[in-house]
Amino acid sequence: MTNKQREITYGEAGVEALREEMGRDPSIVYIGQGIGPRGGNFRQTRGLWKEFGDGRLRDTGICELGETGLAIGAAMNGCRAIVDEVFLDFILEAMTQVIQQAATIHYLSNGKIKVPVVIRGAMGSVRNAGAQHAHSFYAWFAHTPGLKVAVPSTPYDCKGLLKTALRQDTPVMFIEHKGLYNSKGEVPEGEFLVPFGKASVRREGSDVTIVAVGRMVQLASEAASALQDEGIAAEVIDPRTVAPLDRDTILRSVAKTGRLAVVDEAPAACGFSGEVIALVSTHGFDSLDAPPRRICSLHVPNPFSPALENEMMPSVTKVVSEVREMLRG
Amino acid sequence: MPYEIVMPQLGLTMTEGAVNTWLKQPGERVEKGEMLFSVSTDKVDMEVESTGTGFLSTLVGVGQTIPVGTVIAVLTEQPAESAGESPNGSVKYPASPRARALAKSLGIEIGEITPKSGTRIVEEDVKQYHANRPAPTVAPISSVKRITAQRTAESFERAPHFYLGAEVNAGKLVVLRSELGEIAERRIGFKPTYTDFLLRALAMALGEQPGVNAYWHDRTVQRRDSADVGFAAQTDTGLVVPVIRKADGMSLFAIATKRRDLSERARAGALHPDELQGGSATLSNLGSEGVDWFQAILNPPQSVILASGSLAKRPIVVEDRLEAGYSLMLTLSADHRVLDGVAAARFLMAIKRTLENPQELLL
Repeated sequence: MTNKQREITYGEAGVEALREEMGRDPSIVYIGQGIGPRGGNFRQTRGLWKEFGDGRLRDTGICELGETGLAIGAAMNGCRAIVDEVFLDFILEAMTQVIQQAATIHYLSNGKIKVPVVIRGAMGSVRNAGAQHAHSFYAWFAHTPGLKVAVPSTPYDCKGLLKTALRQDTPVMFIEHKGLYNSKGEVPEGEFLVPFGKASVRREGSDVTIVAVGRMVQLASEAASALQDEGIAAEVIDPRTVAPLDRDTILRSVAKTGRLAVVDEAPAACGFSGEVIALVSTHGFDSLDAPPRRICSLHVPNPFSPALENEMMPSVTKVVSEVREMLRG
Repeated sequence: MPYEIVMPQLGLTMTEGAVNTWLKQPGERVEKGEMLFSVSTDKVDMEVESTGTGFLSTLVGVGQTIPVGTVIAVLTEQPAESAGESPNGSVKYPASPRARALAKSLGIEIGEITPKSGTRIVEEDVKQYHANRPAPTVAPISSVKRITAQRTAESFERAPHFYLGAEVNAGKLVVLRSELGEIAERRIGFKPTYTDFLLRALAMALGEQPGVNAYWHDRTVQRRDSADVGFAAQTDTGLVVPVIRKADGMSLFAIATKRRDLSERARAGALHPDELQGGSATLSNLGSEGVDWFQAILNPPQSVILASGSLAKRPIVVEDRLEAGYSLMLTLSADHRVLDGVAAARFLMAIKRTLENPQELLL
């Protein structure tokens, strides 16, 4: 089997990125809950503690504020730190550390203090885990100056973006999707990087541009396949990092297709979908042949009921019908 | 806020319908509950009442099949002038930015387009309209013509032109040309044209008066060190000005040979771009076209251009008598930023003198 054909999971790709980077750079330390001997709730650090030991991977108590502060402090003092919030939902306990310290210290210190920290967490709805374990607020961080935000959608990107994140001198939010950890894809062994701010065109098409990140990329691609059967060629664009955002690829695509839809697992209000539409409305106004649409989750907390949650989330059916309506003019 | 009227679903299985008749006119006020239009579905025809109140605008056309839920009309709070009837009586529709941009680039008036479906003009509608338009009657323009248009406009706007005229007694010139004919045939294979004599005279004057061989640049007068003369040549694709380099040091025959070579290659489109660059002054000769005299536009950045009319028999004053004799009308156009009237006059008079005493042209 050649490297090219090797398939591993999204979760394994993250572990591989960590193993390579921790081996390469002894200043990397990993802090979080259950990430040591247990190997992570999502197996996201499986095998690493055995390999690198307690000095490099340190379990903490259930105290997001403390562990995040610890990692940021370490990053300010010569370490390259990763703090794992596991469920992104619980970063809320540590927000003051993320926003007031990590994102801001570089500015407050006139560039003297660098904060090379990667803040990791898994977002999104999976298996009806209820409102408190299903948030997708990655866009909040893109709203804050001083943070980079990576949102991988494939095993390849998970490895390549995490390795890039671990080489930044600025804080990076590395936001995976819970529902993708077991998804498989081709990932080369060994060194490669995925740059920040460079979108991937997942599928080419001439009729409509669909922009999506994280798990919604898969959903948008499935919708594009279904639309293909109706003779509608959808282009699917995955920005891969939300900050920095690859504006050029999005604008170029809409210049070709004339239509824009954004699929987002987060609610529409003041979110990523609005940002992409504002970008195109401002810098690609003359490209637009139809009002842009957003297919987002409804503006309610995620219901525990599977039937209700499925109804409130974007779906292949919803994307197909919205795009079909756009094309009808 | 404008109120949107949509294609109603008149039964569980209805997915699309067509408006049969509009029961109100564009611009007319409609009250909620009033009958507004009648609809045909695959099963029934029925009248439908308005779901809102306002002034009617942007209707879809009668007979178009439209999906359920699609906007077919808009009710506005004010009888908007932009909505409703346009001057030619057709209904105006909003257009997508893409459709507008395309229409603009194709020179299409967006108001003339009717959307194929729905109430908005989209790119496809503009493309259709464009494809069905009769071909434009405007002749395509060559790049040479485009460059001439741009350069003459720029010259005429920027360079302050003034004009001086002189009538040249061409009697001796006619005789000389005739006498030289046989020698020229032997030496260069053809008889020089009057253009060749004029180019030689122009080149000599430029060599003698270096103040004229100059041009305006960045608020200063720049002198050239080489007297290069160009001549206007008409080709199938437009006007070109080939240049003869260092013409003040060339004999009449050398100039004639070069001029002939350049003219032939200009007509064949075989000139090198370098041969069309620069030049100190230009000769434009419309004499063979029968023009008595004319004023030429400067060929920037040159500061003089000589316009030559026809060499013809005209009344000439000899002492106190009128005689018939050959004369030639010359008009010099000059750039006043570089030359004043007296300097330009001296330049023109130098040319006149050599043409009237044409033996000098052979020296």
